[in-house]
Amino acid sequence: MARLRGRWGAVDYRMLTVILLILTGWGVIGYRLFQVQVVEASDYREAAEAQRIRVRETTPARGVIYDRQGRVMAVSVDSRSVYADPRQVESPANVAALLGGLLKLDIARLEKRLRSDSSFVFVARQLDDATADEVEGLDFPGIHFVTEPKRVYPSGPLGSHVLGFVDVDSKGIEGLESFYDVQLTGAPGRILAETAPGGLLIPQGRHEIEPAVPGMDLITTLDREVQFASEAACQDALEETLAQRCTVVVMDARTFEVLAMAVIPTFDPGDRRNLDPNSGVLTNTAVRSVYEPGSTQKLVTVTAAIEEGVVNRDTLYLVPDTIEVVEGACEELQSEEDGAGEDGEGAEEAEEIAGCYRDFSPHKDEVMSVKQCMRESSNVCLVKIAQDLGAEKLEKYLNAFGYGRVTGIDYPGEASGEVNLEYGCSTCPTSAAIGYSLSVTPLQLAGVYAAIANDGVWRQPRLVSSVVDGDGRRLTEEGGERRVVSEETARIMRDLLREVVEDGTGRLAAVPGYSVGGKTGTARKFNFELSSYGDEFLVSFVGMSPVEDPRLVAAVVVDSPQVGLTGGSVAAPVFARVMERALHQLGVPADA
Amino acid sequence: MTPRPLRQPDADSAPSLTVISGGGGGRRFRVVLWVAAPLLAVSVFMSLIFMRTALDQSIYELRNLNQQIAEETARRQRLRLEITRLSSPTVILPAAEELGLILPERVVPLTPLGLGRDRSGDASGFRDDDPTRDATRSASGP
Repeated sequence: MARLRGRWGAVDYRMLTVILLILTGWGVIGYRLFQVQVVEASDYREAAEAQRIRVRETTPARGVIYDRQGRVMAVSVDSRSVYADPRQVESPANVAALLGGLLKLDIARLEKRLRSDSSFVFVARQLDDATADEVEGLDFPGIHFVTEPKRVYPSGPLGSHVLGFVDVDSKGIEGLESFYDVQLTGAPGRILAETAPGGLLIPQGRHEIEPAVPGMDLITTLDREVQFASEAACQDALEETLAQRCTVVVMDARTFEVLAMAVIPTFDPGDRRNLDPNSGVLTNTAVRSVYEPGSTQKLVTVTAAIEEGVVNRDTLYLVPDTIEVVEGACEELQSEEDGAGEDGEGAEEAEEIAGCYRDFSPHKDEVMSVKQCMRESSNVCLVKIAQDLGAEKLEKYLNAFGYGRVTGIDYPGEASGEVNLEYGCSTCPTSAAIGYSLSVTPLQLAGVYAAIANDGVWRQPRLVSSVVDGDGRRLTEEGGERRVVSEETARIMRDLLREVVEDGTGRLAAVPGYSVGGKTGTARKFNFELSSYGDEFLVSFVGMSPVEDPRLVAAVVVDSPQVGLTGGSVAAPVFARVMERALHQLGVPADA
Repeated sequence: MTPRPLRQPDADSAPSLTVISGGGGGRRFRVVLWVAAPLLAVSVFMSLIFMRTALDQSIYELRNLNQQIAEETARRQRLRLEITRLSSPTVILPAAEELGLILPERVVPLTPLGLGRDRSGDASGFRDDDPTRDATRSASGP
């Protein structure tokens, strides 16, 4: 037996070996414990938490868009989306056939997605309740539902060009939805929860909620009823005249708030599946399309001339039916017309010869006052006034009224228009005086007339009056304003505009019971493909009511009517219908 | 014969013995302690389990209530949306036309004397404007 006697007595080496082995074993275990519990503790803790803790981002409720009376124009509601876990789908072909038929999806594409290796594929998103119930009733294995917010426009196509729309992830991509996307979206929240392996929440586990900050609401300046009246009148005009497009802007004459902005043809922002994005139907022509205004522009020319003291309303002019700005231009024009064939091709080309201006209808030389010139919309008379005014002063007032630059309305992609008064262009100022050689948007032109209605003060137009945050605080941003002409000049111009409606080219714009002032416009449409003026017209009417103390201004532009080719016969009746409904809607007392 | 001790005990030499009282009571206390302590521990343990179960139950009930609130909120949201949709002129006008209602061809504004800008009026205090004024004339210019 291996037993030695030493200082502490007999030593049993076998016992010693066993003790050492045990101690070594405990040492290894202790080391490992130290490693796990101390050195790598945080890693293991994280790994364990990753298994138990589920963090889910919560989508904030997108803000509601209201009209000025608090009526909902756009709102987000919960909807169900269908998704599949392809690993759980038992018969992809059958499921694809049934779901594809029910949801009107491409069956082959759906089957391909159901056979993918992914654990999550969307089948259809944001279904209506009835369809979602039907799909749920099928109870297919591997087909699940998730709740998602869906943007709904309760009035369908009404005001669609203003409101715009969102994509499937509720991000604003057009109109006010896009311009105010940051405010409408809000900030996402977070839910942190401890879950069991089956996904069941551990009741007393860690549970933290960071609530989502809901998006702000928009109170627009639109009036749903006026918007409806505008769209209905435009729709009627399109059907009656076979025009391509109709645009209406109705504006509060005091605040420059836009009460209606109608563009026909329109679309349903909640259902854009069959829309051709290249058809231009999505374009808000009131803000983004520019056109040569024609005679509606004469307001600016006469206003400038009166403000500068060049003329007064009774100043007389000898007005022939033709005037030559470039020597020999009218002779050339005449010879072109004489040479025109029966098909009229030569006549069309003749219209393009610059420097010769003619009135709409031939007439003998007449002595006309400025008032009559406006009333009869005489091009020749306005050219004479413009010549007396001079190009510099005309340009000064075009700038003052905001031509050639955006109004700054709260809408994305506003067009600025253009003023072509190049140095050395002898016909540009005279053309600009009668509404050519410059381009505007219907909104800009409505703003010009609103400045006259507002005693000569121009204000920045607005589509949203206030933004309301989650605490109910209203945030309002005031737009800029500037005086363009004196109060007296604005009053004189309103009188002249009234005469246009009472006894001039704008008679069909009359509204029973109310005094109306306005101006018609008929402009040849420039064909950009041919780089010349074609035989189509853009007809318009811009006016205000009641004239003494205007409450509303409206601009109507009808693109390429096939029946009736003047602003007075096509656009003025649309104006009358819109203005009558709008005045009644706002409770404006009759004054005439 | 009366028995008697052989000798009288010496009081001084007697052992100094003391009486320990309560020896049986201490045993009982220990027994009770041994029984009571586990009982107490078990009851505390059971109480804790009971409390946690009750708490879990409350949490589940709360969760169900929250779920119900969410469902009712969604239902209210859908109903409000339906009201908004039905009150839209795009829905009302076709529905009214189906019922045979039409928009008036002529709206006559009645302005009581003293209101509005134009003070002219007939003896009744109301003025009947002719909406067809100028409406039949054709536009002659641009």
